[in-house]
Amino acid sequence: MRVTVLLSMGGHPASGRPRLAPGEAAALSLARGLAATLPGGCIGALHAGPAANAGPLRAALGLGAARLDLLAIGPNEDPLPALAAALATEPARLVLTGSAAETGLGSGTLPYALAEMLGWPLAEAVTALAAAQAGTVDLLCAESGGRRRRLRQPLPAIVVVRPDAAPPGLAALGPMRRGTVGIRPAEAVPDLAAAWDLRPARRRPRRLDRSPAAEASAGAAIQSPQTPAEAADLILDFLRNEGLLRAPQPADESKP
Amino acid sequence: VKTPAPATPRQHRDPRQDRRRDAGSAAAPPANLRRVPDPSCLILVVAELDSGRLTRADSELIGAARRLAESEGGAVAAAVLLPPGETLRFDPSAAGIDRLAVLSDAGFAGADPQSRIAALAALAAAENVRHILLADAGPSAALGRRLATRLGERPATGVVRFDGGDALCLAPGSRELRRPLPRVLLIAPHAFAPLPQGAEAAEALPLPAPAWTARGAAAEDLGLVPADPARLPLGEAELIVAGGAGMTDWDAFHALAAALGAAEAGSRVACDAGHLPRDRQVGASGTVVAPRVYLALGISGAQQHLDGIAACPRVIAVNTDPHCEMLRRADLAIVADAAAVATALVQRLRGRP
Repeated sequence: MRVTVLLSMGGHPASGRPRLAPGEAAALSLARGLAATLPGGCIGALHAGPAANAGPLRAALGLGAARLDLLAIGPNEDPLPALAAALATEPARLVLTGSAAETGLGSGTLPYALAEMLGWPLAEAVTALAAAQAGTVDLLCAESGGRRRRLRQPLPAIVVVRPDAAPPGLAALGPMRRGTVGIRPAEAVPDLAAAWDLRPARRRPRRLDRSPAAEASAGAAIQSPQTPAEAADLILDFLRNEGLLRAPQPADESKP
Repeated sequence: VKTPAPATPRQHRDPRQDRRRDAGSAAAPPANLRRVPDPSCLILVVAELDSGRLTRADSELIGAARRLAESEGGAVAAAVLLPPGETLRFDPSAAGIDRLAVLSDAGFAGADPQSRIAALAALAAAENVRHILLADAGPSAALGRRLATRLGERPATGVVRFDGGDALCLAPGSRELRRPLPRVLLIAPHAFAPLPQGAEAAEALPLPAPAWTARGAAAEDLGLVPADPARLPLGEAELIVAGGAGMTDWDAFHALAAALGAAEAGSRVACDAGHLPRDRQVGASGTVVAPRVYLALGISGAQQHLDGIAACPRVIAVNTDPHCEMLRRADLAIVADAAAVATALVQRLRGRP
């Protein structure tokens, strides 16, 4: 099975130096783990953008991608139609993406628009991937409060990977140099966003109640309970009031 | 000529206590009622709600919607998605909501977004909704992007300001994007001020719930997976149990974190001593955290540590020293031995029915 990882153009947040975005390196890492368990598993990287972007994105080849395909479009052209056309004809049935690009608008909406265009389902905030029975993958999705939900996702599907799903790895130099980069022209559609004004953010005065600490604790009376059990009850009552004492957790005896 | 000082004796008053008192008295009944009898359009806020109450993000959304309603005309409407069995536990009138749509569906209880999107899309189609506002954080961020693509829209994300008919949005690399206001707006957290409490109540008229049919779920839900508290990312945790130099029983500490389902963290002293790995250190030189509750066991509260929990809304502290900074910062301050309290907590939690 072929797994495709979509690449955006990365840029270091401090210097703007072009690079492979860490969130997409995490997606490549999940793809590598999945492809290793699949018969005939292979990873392709796909990017739509100016041909000059191929240089920094070669790092994907050193992180497990067998080849990098670049759909050459101009800097002010919309990558969405090019990607949709390429994915509709390719054999890929599982497409991984990062959460938001590091350059450009970085709005994180492209995967959703792509899913709607292809008519594929989309799963977001994915932190782990495993092969399940034929035609499905098992996903672990992050929810608020650090909870994780397991989903069995039928393919084809678009999977948005959380940037912290995998620790950053080093790109292997040999495969990075040897790997194939295919550059082909793609349908050019002008991007609506090219008319919007993108400029360095103006410094604005901070709102005074900006931090939640403004409504946060401001000290309370100090209590001196007689026994540890009384202290424990005070703490449990407090947690119950905050709604943080959920259904009884199974006692984990295996921990040291 | 120097005027003599007033004769009243100087009194020391803790300003933090004043703030607390002010917060308590702000729930006074509103003076007047805002009425919008025949609005030209609706500015719809999709409230996230936490156990039936408005969250801070919801209040900020209402504040942003009121700004839009003032500049564009129209009324502030709120949509709440209630799973069956849940009730509203806030006063929509005091929250500044002109119109309230309460939508209920069994599909809202699960993780699958299809019924939420179908319900909101149906509401947007049934009413004269000019803008839909959602928080660009938490589950609303994904819901808003899905809703926008369903409506055939490119949403404005990370909106921090409205200017004329434009939205200013955060963009990577400390840049901002100015674009015409689209229909779906994802509002950045902390960008807009919530309405001041008790300012002007709204009449909160009910909106009829439209009919909708959701697409089938795309994926099979296999349920929540129990998380290992020791590996739960500190940035994600709602409850953090932290140990410091005063924590002497680390077995009880780990057992407590497991029983509470909390993430483990520590002060620099605890990490230096090897009781916890370095990536669990909270403070200026470790991780800056903001869980809903931070339970500090045996941490005296060095300034570097307090900096790391500055944005944390609720703190519980247990320490033997009644004069330490951590107890002064805490909402529940207990003078006791941290290890004994941890042991007692584990016994209580395991003994629960």
